[in-house]
Amino acid sequence: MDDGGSIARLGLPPYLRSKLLACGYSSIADLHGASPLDLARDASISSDEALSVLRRIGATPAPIAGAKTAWDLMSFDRSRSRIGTGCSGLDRVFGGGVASKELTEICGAPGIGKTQLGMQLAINVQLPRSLGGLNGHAVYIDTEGSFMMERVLQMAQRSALVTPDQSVESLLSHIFYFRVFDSTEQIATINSLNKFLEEHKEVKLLVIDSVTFHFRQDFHDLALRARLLNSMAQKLMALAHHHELAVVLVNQVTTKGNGEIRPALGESWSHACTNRVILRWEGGKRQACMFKSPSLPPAKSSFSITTRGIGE
Amino acid sequence: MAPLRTLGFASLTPRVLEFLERNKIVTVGDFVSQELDSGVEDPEIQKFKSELATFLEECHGKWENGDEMLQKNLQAGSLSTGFESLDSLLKGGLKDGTITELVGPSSSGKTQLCMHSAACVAYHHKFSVAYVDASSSFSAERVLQMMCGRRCSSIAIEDDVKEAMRRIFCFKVYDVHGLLEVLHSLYDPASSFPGPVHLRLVIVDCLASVLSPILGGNNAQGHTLMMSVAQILKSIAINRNICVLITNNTVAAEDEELKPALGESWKSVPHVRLMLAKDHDNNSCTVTLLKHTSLACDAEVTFCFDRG
Repeated sequence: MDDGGSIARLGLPPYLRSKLLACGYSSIADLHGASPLDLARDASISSDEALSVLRRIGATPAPIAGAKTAWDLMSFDRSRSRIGTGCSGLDRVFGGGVASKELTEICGAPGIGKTQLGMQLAINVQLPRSLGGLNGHAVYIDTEGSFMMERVLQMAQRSALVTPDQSVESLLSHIFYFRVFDSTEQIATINSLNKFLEEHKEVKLLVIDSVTFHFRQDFHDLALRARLLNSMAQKLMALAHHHELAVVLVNQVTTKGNGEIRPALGESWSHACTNRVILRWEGGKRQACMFKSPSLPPAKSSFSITTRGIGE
Repeated sequence: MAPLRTLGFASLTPRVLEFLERNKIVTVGDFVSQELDSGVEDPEIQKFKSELATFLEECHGKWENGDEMLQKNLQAGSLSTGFESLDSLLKGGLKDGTITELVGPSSSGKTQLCMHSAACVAYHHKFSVAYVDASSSFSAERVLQMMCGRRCSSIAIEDDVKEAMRRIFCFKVYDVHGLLEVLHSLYDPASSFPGPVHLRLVIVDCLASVLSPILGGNNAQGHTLMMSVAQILKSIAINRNICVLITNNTVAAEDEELKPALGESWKSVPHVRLMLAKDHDNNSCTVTLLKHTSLACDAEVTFCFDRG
């Protein structure tokens, strides 16, 4: 006998929930067939409140009807384009480029090129599909102040040479820039993105640089930090999926006790991203290495940063 | 448990109702948990009590003896994970009616193993699989690779592979309420599953992603919701005779050790717990048996995911 689950599923305010529990309504099946009048009388609540409770049951359509098979998902995956980075080796590591509807994390030591890569992707997403773009706009959330306008201008100038119908002004005006100064602002900005993305449907890329910065210092309650980061990751996944965005998260690194370098924000954050790419120095060259991916084999490639942007 | 009044018993006369109100008995739960001394000689109340007793008899499941349970257990089927060594560690594979949990640090192979089991059940056993993806990590391309190895990267995909891919149903959830909606509709036999169905495997990857944001802190309902998830998973496994495969993350414990997330209360929920560890140098995955209802623990096997 399926009782439909406890009434905790309905997300009611605590006072309503405790009133319902006190008069015997503890599972969703108990509420089925109850009239608003009976409910209001039994639980000593107003009829408006009773109506609002009953409205919450059966409000969402059955998810089974909307299920997609693996075959449908695969056809979609094969048809979607990816955002090129400008370096063919790096594109190979990413499996052709940065994919949409996924969270990709880029970690590395300071100065390795994480922000450069973020800025380059914000330009590249605007290119036509034939040149490795998605004809879309970009949102750049800057938490550290590392976004450099002059550098983006250089990258835009190089791109404008290849695409004559997209001027430097048009490339720059399609990057929506948000500067956040603390962790609360960061969470609030991400919460408000859904509305922003509804109004700007051409946005195909979201870069957060860096997602770590405000959560590393001054956060004494590590359990709270883990909860906030996990719920932020889930919100970003929902945004990526509903608005068909590629989400790129820049993360810093920290050293372990024995001097080994690992991505910051701990074990619980490692599970949040779909893909994780680690940038490091090897033999005097910058190397990118795909560390975690559900579908790509671990691959490495070197890349360079030139005056014109990311290159081979 | 709904209020007694709504049960619609004929024996619920006004006198009985008045008696119940006097003793502050509102629900069935109140009635059976109270010691009633006064008024029990009243024939109307006696009639009500016996009608309630018959009703309760019909509600609870029937008693089973140990022999019947053993027969059921011996006849229970098992599904292969696709790795012989792991199947032999589990003495057959994923057993019907059980919840198997995969625990491991990031990138240790949990999602790969889930996708591999889904591919194997859909392709070799030809049963349907429900894959609930709570961590945006399902890759249909990878499942295709696992089903047919290298030959699928080329153009033509055989019909039987196409059919198998159509037997895997994916659901994306982003929070615990979405997860509960999906699980309740999987449990409910009245909900129409698209296509010809014999659902034998339900995978939830990754439970900790949707449960850890609500546990702890100011959220009073977090624990209740986690246990609701546990209850519906167990109902799906036991009452529908389905294999349930779930994944869980690890969190840092004292002295750099890793322990499974979701805390002590979650430990009793899965029937079988497997710990995964990945060796990145030679791309092999080691699985250790942490908990099993009938096998000795700490046995381990190692295998490689083939990179297609």
